[in-house]
Amino acid sequence: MIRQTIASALLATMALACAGEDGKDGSNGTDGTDGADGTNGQNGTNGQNGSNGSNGTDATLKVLSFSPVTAPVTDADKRRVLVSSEALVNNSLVGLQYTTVARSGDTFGTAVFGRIVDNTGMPVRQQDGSEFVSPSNDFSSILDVGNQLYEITQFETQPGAMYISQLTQSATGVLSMTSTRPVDFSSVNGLWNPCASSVTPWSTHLGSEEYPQDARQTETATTVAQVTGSSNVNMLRYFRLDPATVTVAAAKAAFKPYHYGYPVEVSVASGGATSVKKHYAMGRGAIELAYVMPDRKTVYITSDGTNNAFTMFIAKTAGDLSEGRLYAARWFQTSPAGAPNGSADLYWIELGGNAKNADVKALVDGGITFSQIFDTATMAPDGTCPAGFKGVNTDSVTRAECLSLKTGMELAASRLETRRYAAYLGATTEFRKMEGITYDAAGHRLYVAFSEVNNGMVNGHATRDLGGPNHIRLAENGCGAVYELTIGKDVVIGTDYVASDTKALLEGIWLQDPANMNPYPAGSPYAGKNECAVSAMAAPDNLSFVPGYRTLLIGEDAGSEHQNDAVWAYDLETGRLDRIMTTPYGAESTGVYFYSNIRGRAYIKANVQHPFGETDQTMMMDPTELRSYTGYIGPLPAMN
Amino acid sequence: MRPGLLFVGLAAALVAIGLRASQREPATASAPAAAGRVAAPAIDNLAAYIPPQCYAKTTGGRNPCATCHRDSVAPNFIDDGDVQTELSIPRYAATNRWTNVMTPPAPAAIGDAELLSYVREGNYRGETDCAFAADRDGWDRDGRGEVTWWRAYASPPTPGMFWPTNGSAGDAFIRLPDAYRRDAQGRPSLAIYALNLAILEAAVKRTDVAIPPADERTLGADLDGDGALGTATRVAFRWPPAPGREPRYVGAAAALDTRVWGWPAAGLFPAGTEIVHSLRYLDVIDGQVWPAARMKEVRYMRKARWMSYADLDVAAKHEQGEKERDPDVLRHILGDSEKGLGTGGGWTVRGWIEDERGVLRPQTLEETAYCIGCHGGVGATTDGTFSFARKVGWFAWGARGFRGITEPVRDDGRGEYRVWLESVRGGDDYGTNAEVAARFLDDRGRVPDGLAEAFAKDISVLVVPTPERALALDRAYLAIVRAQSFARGRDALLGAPLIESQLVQGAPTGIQTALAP
Repeated sequence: MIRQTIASALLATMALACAGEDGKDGSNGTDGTDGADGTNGQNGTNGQNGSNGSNGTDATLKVLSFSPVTAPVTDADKRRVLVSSEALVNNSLVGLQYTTVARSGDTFGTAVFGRIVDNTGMPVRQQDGSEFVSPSNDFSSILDVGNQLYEITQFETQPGAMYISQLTQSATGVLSMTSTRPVDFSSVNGLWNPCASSVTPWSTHLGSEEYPQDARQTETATTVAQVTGSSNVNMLRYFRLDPATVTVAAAKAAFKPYHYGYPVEVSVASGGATSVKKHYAMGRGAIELAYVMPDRKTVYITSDGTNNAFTMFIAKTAGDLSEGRLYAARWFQTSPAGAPNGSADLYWIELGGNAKNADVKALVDGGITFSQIFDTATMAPDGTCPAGFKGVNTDSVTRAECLSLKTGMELAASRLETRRYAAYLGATTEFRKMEGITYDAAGHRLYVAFSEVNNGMVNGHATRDLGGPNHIRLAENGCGAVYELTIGKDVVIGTDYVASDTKALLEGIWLQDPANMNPYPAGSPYAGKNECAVSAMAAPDNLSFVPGYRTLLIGEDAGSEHQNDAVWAYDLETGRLDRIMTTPYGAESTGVYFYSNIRGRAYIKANVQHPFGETDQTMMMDPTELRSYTGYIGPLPAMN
Repeated sequence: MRPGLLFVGLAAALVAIGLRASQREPATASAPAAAGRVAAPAIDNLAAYIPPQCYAKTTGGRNPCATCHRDSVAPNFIDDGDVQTELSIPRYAATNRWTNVMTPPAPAAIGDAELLSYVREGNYRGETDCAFAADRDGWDRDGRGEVTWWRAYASPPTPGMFWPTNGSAGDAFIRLPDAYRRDAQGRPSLAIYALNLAILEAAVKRTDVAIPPADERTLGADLDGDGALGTATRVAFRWPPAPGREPRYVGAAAALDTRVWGWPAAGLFPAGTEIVHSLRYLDVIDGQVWPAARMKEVRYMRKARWMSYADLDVAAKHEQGEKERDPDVLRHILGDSEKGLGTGGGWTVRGWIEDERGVLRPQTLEETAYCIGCHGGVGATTDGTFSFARKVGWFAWGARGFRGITEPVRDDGRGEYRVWLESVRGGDDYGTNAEVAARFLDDRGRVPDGLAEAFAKDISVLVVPTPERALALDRAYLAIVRAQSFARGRDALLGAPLIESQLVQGAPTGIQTALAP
């Protein structure tokens, strides 16, 4: 039992961690010579007290251990959010539960949590007058500003939304939402499909815009759907245009693909006013997450989707992401081709030069188009390009192309067509579903999650490596992996936080590997529903490090990989992997993030997207109802 | 999120999230009575929602796809007309698992007399509370002659497997929830109910609907939209409505919360709407084909939740985006045996089907998943349904021997059935209906004008099989019943089907131009 083992460990360690010892006694005085019996000699003076010994170091008994959640087997359990019932945090056993703070569609006065607004702040409406309420909340950050707790929640829809809400914290650490309002993005042409985010060291929310529209398609668009991308046409509603009736010309006038696909920073001032910045200088892509390192300058940026780059931004001024240099990783594999447990050295290729948001924005506002940046040619079926063109293979939609950079277009290419340009310069654009990022400062290790290791990440993929350099040559693993990157000083790039190499930390166990089919047997409660072993993590998405406790939290985004998404706690010291939460059928755990101290309490934020549904008294229940929940596991005692 | 095919087993009540945990046990979000330790059901075909019609050969441009896949009309935002020209299928489903359709089993060896005796035996035991006994106004009445509030309606069947000549005779009944059946004082009223059904019809068919003279003042509703409260002889269809003048249901239903129950928005049914239809064998009486007393299936759908235009738009765009980024992802289907499977559009579906002795039993989850593709994922539907938007009257069509319905006319003025016959170059999706092909298509694949005019006036000329074919279809289906192999395909096919065993994602279909509705 966890309790007993830890208790005895506690006692043992206590014994060592005592107060400092007394100083030694002084040596005795020499004896007096013998005399006649008579008066006794004086006592020798006491020796000086020894100086105090230095204090023993406090017992650094940083223990974090969760009682594990077993993978649900009953139907009832598969429909619930299951959470570790307790955790051992240092000396205390803490009871845990999952607490919902708000659900999309909840009303607070006249505000509706997750309701989409246009560029005048009015709710966007469909032709029947109905309002758009996003059922997909993703990451939420918790900020403490001016003596008020705020939560900023991202909603993954088109148009996208962020809501800033006020929170109160009870005496027992329970968080409640008391008000909410949408964040205004009209100064940056609206928000596009935000996904994950992080909190910067200077306490701002650093969000993202995912899957921007291919500007090459927009330029030649002859239909409205081709201007924005057919699943994105509702972005036009942000500009109060109706996708059903708008002309192609009007759509093109309002919607510019280069306005979207960037990290987005939201600052909260004392009193709650928000200001937003899109960091064009940080490059454009299907941004999953931008993560700022402790130097407040070095930022790692992951992208979701297929055939992506992995980029690093070095801000010119610490704490200011509006200007800096941009690099893309070049993977040099050191592990055998086609094998699992990959390892690679990483080189960083600079894209363009130093850039400022304002300069990039000026290009966009000037109406720059894709064809002003690149010339294109047709790729031969064998992946080769005509003379003067370079083959690149990026993104699942744009795929393999032959490109030639037009003269003087380095800045534009580096920031507006980052992925294409990265490939063009020889960086690696084979990364697949690269999502969560988190950093262990004490261990100097960065962790990233690949939800799946396939497509361009395998050795010589027929379509995804066509025309490209095939840098990444790992064994296919449909269950994904977490990779560890060594972080250190790079004198050329000029920061102490450059990733120099990487290797696999944890891999999912792929039972449906065609080379090694090993499905659960018939009759097993896991049969037919879990492509990946239930006892291991699969489809890792969010990562969050618990500093001081050597624990990595891993949130899954599984479909057929795991029937129920799980959140795991991985002890980097012992290699112990504990499941600490599972979500219902069809639900996704999102926004897993650890806060070590919010007014004396720690929280593990975890949102649940698309939970299966609630008990309903009236039989009015749709099993596919989508509503997402923002909440947390905890509270735990402060852990910093 | 990334979908996959998920099933839920036998249900316990669902649970709310956010309540306090107990110690030691994994904390649950609340503490209802636990269901038994039921393992998840076994599913053979994870793509059971993709019906066999999707594997029909399209070489040379034959096009059975347009029936379901087309550019849609809001609030259907699926807009999948491009599937006609470029194949979109998840990798798993590229392999055709409908083995009964690729290789139809030998028909049951059973003589005419025994077969007729079998199909004339009624097997409905009240699986739903519809009596399947419509009076001449379509009102369903129980054994005591009381209305059950179900009402039969007739529609020209969607081309393809719903034609009697392709296997089954069907019927359809609709019912609205209790509040729609009562007047403003709460008293049950067939007249109020009929009015509410007319209001619904106007919204779903997007046309004005004639009604018996109604006193708008008493009802408190300007049904004919003339700006005054007088006597209305029609429900007017106006879309989009002027703000503040949105149409409403009448009687007790007028007091319902529209955010929960809905309102007569164009193309949508209110929450709580139920639709039931039976699929029957074919009987032959005095040389004429009639629907048999025996039911192959009872199919039931219920609108569990109101979804507004915006809700449907968000859901459709989300699915579309997921598919664009990863076309191989299979669909999540959620639900349980008690409430049925969710279509994703607010409806749940359930069904009953014969066991090997002909007794109706609940369909398995895999058998029910078969409904989800057409009722929850194509551009052709009106709020997840086909038939009500095509309604031509309040009666059970089969009871009139399939007579008296004219051919639907397309937007371009051509006959829907004629265009379909020429598109599929035959009488069914798979090219196995040699009878229709021989009778109605010349050797250039055209329907001669004379024949087209004949079935334009009365579709029974086309869609009802000869008695010989009717019995052959019954035999073909009975083989599947005896084998209980519905999950491998339940279409009754006579002849070698034109069907692919393997599809290629992203490949051109062979259809050059998508056929518009």
